[in-house]
Amino acid sequence: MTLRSTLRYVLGRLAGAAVLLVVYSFGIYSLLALAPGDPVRLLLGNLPATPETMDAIRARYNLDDPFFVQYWNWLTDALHLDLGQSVLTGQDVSSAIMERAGVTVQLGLLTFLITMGLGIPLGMLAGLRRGRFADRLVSQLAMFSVSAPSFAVGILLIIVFAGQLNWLPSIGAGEGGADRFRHLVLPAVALSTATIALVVRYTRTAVIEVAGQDYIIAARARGVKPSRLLFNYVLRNSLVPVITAAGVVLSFVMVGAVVVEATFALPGLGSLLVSAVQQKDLPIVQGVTLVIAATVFLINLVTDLAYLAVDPRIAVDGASR
Amino acid sequence: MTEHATRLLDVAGLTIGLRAGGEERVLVDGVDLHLDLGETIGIVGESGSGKSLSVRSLLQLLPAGFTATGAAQLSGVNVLTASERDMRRVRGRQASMILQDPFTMLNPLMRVGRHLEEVLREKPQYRAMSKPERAAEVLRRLEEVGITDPSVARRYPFQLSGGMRQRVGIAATLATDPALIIADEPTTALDAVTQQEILELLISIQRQRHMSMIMITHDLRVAFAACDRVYVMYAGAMMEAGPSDELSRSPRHPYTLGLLASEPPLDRRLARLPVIKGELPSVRAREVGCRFADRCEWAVPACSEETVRLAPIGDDRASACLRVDEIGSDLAARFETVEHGAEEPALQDLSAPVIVSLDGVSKQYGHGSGAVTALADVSLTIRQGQAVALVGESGSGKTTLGRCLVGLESVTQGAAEVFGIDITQGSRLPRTDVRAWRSKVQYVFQDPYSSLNPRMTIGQTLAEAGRQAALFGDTRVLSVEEVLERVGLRPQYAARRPSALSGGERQRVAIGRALALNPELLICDEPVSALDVSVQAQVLNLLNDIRRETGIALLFITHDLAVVRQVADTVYVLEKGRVVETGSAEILDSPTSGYTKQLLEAVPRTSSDWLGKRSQMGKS
Repeated sequence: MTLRSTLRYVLGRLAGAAVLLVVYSFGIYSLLALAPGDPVRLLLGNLPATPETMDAIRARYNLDDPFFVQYWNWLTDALHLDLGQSVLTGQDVSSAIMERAGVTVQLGLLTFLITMGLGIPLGMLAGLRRGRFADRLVSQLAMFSVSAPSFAVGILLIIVFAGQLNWLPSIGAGEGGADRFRHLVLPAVALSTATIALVVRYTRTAVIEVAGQDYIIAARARGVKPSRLLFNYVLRNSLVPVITAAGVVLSFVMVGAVVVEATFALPGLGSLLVSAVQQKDLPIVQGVTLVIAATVFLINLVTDLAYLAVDPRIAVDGASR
Repeated sequence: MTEHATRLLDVAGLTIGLRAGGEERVLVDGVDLHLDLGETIGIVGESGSGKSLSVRSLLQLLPAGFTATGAAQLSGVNVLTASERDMRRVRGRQASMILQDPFTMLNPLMRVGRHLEEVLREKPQYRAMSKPERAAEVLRRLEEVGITDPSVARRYPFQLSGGMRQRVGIAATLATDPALIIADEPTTALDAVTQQEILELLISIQRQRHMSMIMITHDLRVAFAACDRVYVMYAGAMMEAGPSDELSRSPRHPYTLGLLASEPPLDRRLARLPVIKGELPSVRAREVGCRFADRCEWAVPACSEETVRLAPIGDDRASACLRVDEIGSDLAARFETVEHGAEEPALQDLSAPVIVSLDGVSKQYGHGSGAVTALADVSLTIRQGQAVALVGESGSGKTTLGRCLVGLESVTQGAAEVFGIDITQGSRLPRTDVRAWRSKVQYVFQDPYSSLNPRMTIGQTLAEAGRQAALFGDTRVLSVEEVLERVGLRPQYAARRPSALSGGERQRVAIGRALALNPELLICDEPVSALDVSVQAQVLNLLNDIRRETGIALLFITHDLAVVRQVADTVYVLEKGRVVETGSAEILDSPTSGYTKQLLEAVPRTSSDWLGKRSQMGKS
């Protein structure tokens, strides 16, 4: 648990993640190659399908090479941070991703804050008031919100807050700063409905478990203040499962963004991916999925590091196995 | 009336109920008790007696759904009806509580020092202190409980041993300087030697600070040694109360007598342990009449019709027995025969063939510098029909050895033969050898609550074992009824599931499941340590009966030397993976190894000198 062993652990995990990412990228590459449709026709775009243009395309994209050679070429380029160009616009995939990533990251962070900020207190309330009215209410709401698909919630929010009340904008990402924030509120709320339910459940279960422990009874018996009991005993000891939930929430946000960005016409990674899939822009699809996968790996690593920080009993050696 | 000037706690008619599924169940029924300043009382009872609930209600720490009625005056406050706000002034300042399990009693994420510091801050004189002053106070308080290493304050609970954690728990409980300390089974989870140390510590602090103490325990010997007066509870009702030395010499209630008698003696082997017939009643049992009547030899019809509360019988003693005057001489006579029960010498045939032979066996976990040695150079022999006891504290390697003999663990080094099969071969053994091994050696686990599949009925569990026996080529497979009969259960039990059974009944089923395979060696890993005393005696008698009838060999793994005395012919004492002493059961009379002496010294004894000697030594 020294700094050095933690560092060694992190480097080990990163190396493992790199290997997994290569395997993952190969999977995606193979699936896209297996997808129906002749890549040459796709790459032609609006050009006339003459034998000359088709040959030129084949030559330019090395489409006559064997499959593994094509993948190898893509991989070595990717390792040099060159993910290729968009078939439709000719833009570098990496710069297209950089351009769009900002909105998605902001949306993700806002969703995460809303989810945790509401989910943990509500979960604690339900856990501490187990079986009473507050618990039943929170649990019912959680059940309701987890069953509501985020695009439907999104449309509902647009109708009420953008349409009827005209409080918040419904489309686009705005001009940065406060305007960007205003544009992201509704999408983030829509995305949070499902994830809040998850956090409420995890927190509630953890609090119920912790509240019944001997050390809580012993602490009450020796007169520990209620506020200390709540934060230093119940909340801290409930944190490990809550961190697990937080990791799941962050990963889910990356996936959920695909739908919500489409609903609110946000120019983020999700909508980039959706349009790329629709238009069979394979380099973009390959690039974006790779970035999403890398982010999920990173989130998992951060989650495990958070365990280490929260619980002294979890040693690095045990975690790395 | 002068007595009442020093009265700290007065409980009258304490009744605790639980509302579940529309019906009210009474878990504690009309308990009366009192405690003076500077006095130590013990509340003794088996599981379900309501002893823990009773004291928790005094701090309003009952789990949700429980309600307490009656009156309980603690320093002039009725603590059963006081508001949460008033209770905050009672908890910690008036009374504080130590819990049973030192492994769960401290906040796992908080350093030791913080546990003390946070409650010290509640008192104005410490809140006014500077940080270093308060840190010094924390260290001083840790010293009071025998922790002289200042670095302990900065450690987390998981970095400490069980005994150390319990010391920290005691220090945290004492930090607010309460007038009353409630110790709820404070040493049950600890090894015998540690138990003695912790009890001595508690008593010396109680004397020095002139505090009052309520000690909850299931062990009458511990209560008698540590407390001025003892209350005996059974199934939610108070049975008897009196000064320790009198209660231990002349019980005036059949249940107290039964409890005293079921305690296996350390110094001699009884032909048969006295038992209280039957099992502890379920919580829903009737509320009219004496709760012990069903199991009482002296019960008359009136016992079931009339509820008797604890009533004075002179000399500061009280009994809740309706017939206390009539059966007094009967009880005394019976107690006399128990004290001088028929002895039986350990029997063993040293010419019988050897079935287990270990020579220089070692077992290591892990590799390299992080390796942990569980067993080191252990040699052991078990002969046909012999009863061998493996004795040691937790971490001695006794369970590891037992698990090696059935193949749940593998031996790292040395020669090990079981029924002529070389078990060091492990997975390389031919299948026929594995079958022979498995069919001849069976295992009974410590915890009958987790060793039976809860989804299967008892009949299914036993039938499955029988099918296994048939698969192993056994020609005399026992039927489910035969197995049940052998372990003393009625045939109706076949249709029940484990959840409907008591701990003792479950352990009988677990023994039956092992016997269904007709083994020649039964390994019992602490088979009675999870059971109540009255049930423990029944199970020990059962194991001795089975051995006498079937000639089966027993390997008995236990920490309890009194249990060893009742079952074993030959004893191996293990310390940190090494055999430090071996011989016939008589080595308990004249041990040569210092460790064995230490273990014997730590076995609780009724007399107060068991705890007295050491604490005086500690003072000098």
